[in-house]
Amino acid sequence: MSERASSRPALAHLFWWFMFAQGGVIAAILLPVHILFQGILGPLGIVKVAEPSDLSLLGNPIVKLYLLVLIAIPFFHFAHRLRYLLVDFGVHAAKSIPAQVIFYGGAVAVMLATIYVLLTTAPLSF
Amino acid sequence: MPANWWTRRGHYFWYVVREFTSLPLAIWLLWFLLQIYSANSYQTLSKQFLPAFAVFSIFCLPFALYHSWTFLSLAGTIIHLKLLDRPVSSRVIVATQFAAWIGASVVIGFLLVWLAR
Repeated sequence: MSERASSRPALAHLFWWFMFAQGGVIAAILLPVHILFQGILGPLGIVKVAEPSDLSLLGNPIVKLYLLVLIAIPFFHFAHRLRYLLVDFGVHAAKSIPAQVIFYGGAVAVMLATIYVLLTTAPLSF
Repeated sequence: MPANWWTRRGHYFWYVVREFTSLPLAIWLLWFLLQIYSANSYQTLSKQFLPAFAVFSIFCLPFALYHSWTFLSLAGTIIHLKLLDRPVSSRVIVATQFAAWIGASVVIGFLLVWLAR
């Protein structure tokens, strides 16, 4: 019985590790250029760049989907890294189930908040 | 383990820096989301914080680059591929990751400028 239970695929692990890896890839490949252009060059007036508050762009479904991926998915990576950083600093409570719920639940909450913001800020336009 | 273990060796310190990059990047993304959220009242709310956002972004950029450098460099260790029954060298895998990063950055940078016109 126990052998059968242990041979089942660990789908939950598969999901969280997949999200961790994808979050790391998206943060690595997409984030620096957004920070450079929309965080530094645009706000300082060095280059005119698309603003995150541009309603005409925000209505585009492809832009909405891109922003959802850009903003929400890295939080699954961040949640894991910050939780284990706390463990490394001796906060053993960060290994507990409530801590996992807080960190990974926080990532899910950010994803839901991002979906809400993207759907309510600008109506879909094709 | 002593509380200052991470200051005792260089690679411990840089490991902690690598893990810590998550915090400023998470805050940057939340601030970015807040700018989208306040799009309808952008003139009165977010625009007055743009200089602070620029300063925070200057602080975040080295962390973002360090995350990219370390994460993409690890790809050679994590990813194992075979091409025509021969293993692809880890150097080639890492090089393709960095090429993808540079290519994506050029395309996105161009789009961000082009879409602003």
